[in-house]
Amino acid sequence: MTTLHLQPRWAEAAQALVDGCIDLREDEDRVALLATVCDGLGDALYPAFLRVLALIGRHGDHAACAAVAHVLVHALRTGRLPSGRRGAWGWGQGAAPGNSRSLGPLEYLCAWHAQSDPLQALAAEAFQPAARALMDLVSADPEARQLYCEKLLADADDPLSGALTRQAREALRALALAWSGGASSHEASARFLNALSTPAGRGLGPQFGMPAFAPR
Amino acid sequence: MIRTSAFAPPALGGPPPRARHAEAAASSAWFDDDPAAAGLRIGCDVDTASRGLGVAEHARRVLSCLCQHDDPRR
Repeated sequence: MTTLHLQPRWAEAAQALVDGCIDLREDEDRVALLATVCDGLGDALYPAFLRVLALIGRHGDHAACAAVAHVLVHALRTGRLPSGRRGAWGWGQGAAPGNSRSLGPLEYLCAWHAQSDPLQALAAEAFQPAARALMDLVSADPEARQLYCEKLLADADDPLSGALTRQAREALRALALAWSGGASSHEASARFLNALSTPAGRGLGPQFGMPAFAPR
Repeated sequence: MIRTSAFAPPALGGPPPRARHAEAAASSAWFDDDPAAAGLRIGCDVDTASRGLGVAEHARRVLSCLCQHDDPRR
C-alpha cells in the first residue's frame, strides 16, 4: 500500500519532475516518466501529482514550466495524458466497482469540485488556485494549451464517458472556450465556477449530480 | 500539513459523518498554501547527480519525496 509521507517534500518532488523532463532525451521517455509517477502514487494519491504540477505552475520559471508543458503536448497527441481515476458521476454505494473514469489533471480537478457530495468535493477556494496553476503551467507551451483546450471541448461533448454531469460538462466547455479564446487562467476558472452555479444547476436541487435511476 | 490517515479510502459502507467532515477538510488541504514554498523557485538547471538517469530512476526520485510503499505482510 502506498502512503503519503507525513511531510512530503513537495518542492523537491517538483524540481525532480522538472529535472526528469529536461534530462530524458526522448518524448516517449518523458511521457513514461509522468505515467510512472502517477502509477507509483496510485489513484488515491493522484492529487499529490496535481499538487506537484500546480507547484511547478506557480513557482517554476518559464523554461521549467515549458519543459513539462512540452511533455504534455506529446502526451495529448498520443492520448496518454497522465490521469487519475474517479468514480463516474452516478457512482455510489451499490454501483459496480469498476464504474470509474480516467481523468486528466484539469478534468480531475473540475470533476472533484463539481461532484455531487459536497462533503467530499474540492472547495472552490482550493479549486481555483490549483486550476489556475495547472493552466499557467500548460500555457507555457502554446501548443499544449491549444491541444488541451481541444481535449476539454471534446470531453464536454462526450456524455457517454460518464465522468461528468451535464452541468459540469457545460461548465468545462465554458472554461475551455474562455481559455482557448485567450482568457487568463483566473478568468477561465471563474467561468467554470460561474457556469456551475447558474440557475440550471441550482434548479436541480439536491438531486443534482445524482443518478437518474438508482443502481440495482 | 496533509496527514496520510485523512486520505485513507472510506471503509465499506462509508465513513461515519464526523469522519466524512474530516475527509472534506482534507480534500481542500491537498492544495493548502505551503509556507515552505514562499520564495521558492523551480528552475531548469539539472544538477549533476540527476543527469543521465533512466525513466525509472527519475520517477523514483520524484516518488521518494512524496510517498512510501508499506508492505502489508509486515
